[in-house]
Amino acid sequence: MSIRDQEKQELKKLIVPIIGKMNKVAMFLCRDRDKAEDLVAETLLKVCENIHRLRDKSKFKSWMFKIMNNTFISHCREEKSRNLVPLDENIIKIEKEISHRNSSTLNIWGPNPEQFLINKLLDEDIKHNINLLPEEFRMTIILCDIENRSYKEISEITGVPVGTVRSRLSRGRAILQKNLHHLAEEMGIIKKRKANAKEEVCICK
Amino acid sequence: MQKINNNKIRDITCEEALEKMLEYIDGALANVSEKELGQHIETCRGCMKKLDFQLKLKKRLAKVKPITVSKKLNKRLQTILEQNF
Repeated sequence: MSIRDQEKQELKKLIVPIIGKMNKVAMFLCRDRDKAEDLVAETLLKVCENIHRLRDKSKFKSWMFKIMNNTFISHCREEKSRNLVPLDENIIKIEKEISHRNSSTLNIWGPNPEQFLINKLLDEDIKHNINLLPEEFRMTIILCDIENRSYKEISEITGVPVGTVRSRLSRGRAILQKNLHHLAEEMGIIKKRKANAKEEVCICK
Repeated sequence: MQKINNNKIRDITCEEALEKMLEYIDGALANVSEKELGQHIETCRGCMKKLDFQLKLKKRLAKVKPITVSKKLNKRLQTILEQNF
């Protein structure tokens, strides 16, 4: 077997087991099957072209996700330049909305849904609500909660400091929690709160 | 989470508890902070419920099933691998 064949086999061994994961992350990011498949294919192409630059093969997965994330962001920027997706404005708007609504970090957390709520929701409900999150929050939550990556790995993949990863997780989860709660109300899984009902807040300190 | 009875553990506010909660559910919280959070949770029902919900949500997210890779994509990826080696 030639060196080239060996490289090919090694790369296949690294890639094949994670194609499903690549596709899952891409679907969450792109919200569209065709776009997700394009993203996976483009990521793989870049992986093939740059595999010789990866010295530590144990970091292959993080490295690959970083390429996917950068490729995705690059596409978002292209769309933004065509005025299709005002990505940054979207995030700023949501962050402003959260900070305006309540000045305390405590209150960005929504009302506490009943304990059985989560198990009542279907995969499709959860996927749909993750898809509604702004890109940056979405990628961070997917990597942390679905791909089980550490804060450090997410920081390396997304190219932002660990503190920003924490902040995005916190805000992203808060939005997700509220959205799931509203969905559960709409579906009749839990009772609707009265319009004038106060959110539960901690008073112990 | 460990049960805490040590008086030397620092009291934390709900706001601090929420920050620590995030790291706790992701397994990234230092031991000292975990004790502080544990002590807070024992006396704060609101934070306990929030922590419980977040733990359940994280577990549920981890169970979201993978998306099937289409034959079309598989073929595309195969072609990319073949063409680049």
